Amino acid sequence: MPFVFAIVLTLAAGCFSGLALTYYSVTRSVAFNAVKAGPWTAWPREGAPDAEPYGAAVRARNASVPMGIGEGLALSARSDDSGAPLTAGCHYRLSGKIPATRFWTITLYDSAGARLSHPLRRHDVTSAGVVREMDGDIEIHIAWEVKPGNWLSGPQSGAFTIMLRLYDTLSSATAFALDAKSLPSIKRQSCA
Amino acid sequence: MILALPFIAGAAILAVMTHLVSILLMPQLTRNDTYARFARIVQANTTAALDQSQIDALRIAYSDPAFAVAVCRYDLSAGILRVRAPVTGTLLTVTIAARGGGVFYSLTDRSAADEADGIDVVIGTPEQIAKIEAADPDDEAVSELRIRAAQNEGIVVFRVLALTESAQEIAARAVASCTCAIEGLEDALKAK
Repeated sequence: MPFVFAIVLTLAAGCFSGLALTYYSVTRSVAFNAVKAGPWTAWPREGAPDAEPYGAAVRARNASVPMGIGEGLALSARSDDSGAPLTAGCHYRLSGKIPATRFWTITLYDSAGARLSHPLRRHDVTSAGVVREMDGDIEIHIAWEVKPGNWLSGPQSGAFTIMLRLYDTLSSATAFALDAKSLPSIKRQSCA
Repeated sequence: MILALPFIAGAAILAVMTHLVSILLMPQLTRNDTYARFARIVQANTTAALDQSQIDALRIAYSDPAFAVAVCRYDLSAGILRVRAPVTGTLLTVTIAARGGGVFYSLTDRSAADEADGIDVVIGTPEQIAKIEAADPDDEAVSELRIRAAQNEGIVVFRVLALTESAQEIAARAVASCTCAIEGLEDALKAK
């Protein structure tokens, strides 16, 4: 009888930990073939027909339609330059260059990919809507409180994600070697 | 203790197997994937423009709010799908994804063969496309783009960029004029 009990326990433990591992990987958006540059991560093969199974599982669960490789490249940041997670209550400065592209957009999301809710609804900016520095660089302030200059409203609470999307860019083909210097930096300024 | 080792090893092997199988099966088993969510708002083989509140209600993760979006849910069992989109000067992207699978084709307005005609794409199963190609006249160039779909079911997502708030209405109009329609294979061949 103890033998039967041990078999049942083994089966239960095996199935449970297997499913727990699956849940962990799809909720944390674990995906292979990621290209990292500074705080930014891109999955250049995400929108390719041969996308790997972890990415496909995450997409099926999120119901997101990724950008195809013919459209451009999406880069996401969940942490600042120092590696600390992006959180509400802090003021961040996103500054530097954007790789050569026809259009770009920067959008803020909560950690699950939903849009944020700020009364002023300033959660995204496009290449036409941003005010540039004299040298063509950009500087965007991200905080819940209104800031002078280019300002995006961060969340009131919780972690958040910044997505930089390059549309019709040459970078999608060469994304396997992204350079952090050609991408904006994300620096934490102060925390409430 | 020694007696427990085979059971622990068994549980670990089972955990790995459960994990891999569940990850690989997730796109097939998810009942609430993108295709299913779109099925609530758009009939098969027709196009529907989505406003931002619908995108939020469908809980589609990481959608770019700078874009006007329309979707077409297709089923190739009745014939080939003809997809048309206008070229308006601003960025228009067309993403084609198989149900449960990834994006298998994507293009932007720059891929249009003729600006006046706009984007003209035919999606069919490999057999359908082979029949159409066999009926092509030898002395004429083909202006439509033909895409082979491995699966009968899938979605086409049209996105038009509105760089500024004032451009949103133009983008909404451009996306509303994107169409998809099933053409019977015999009719398509007869028209030649």
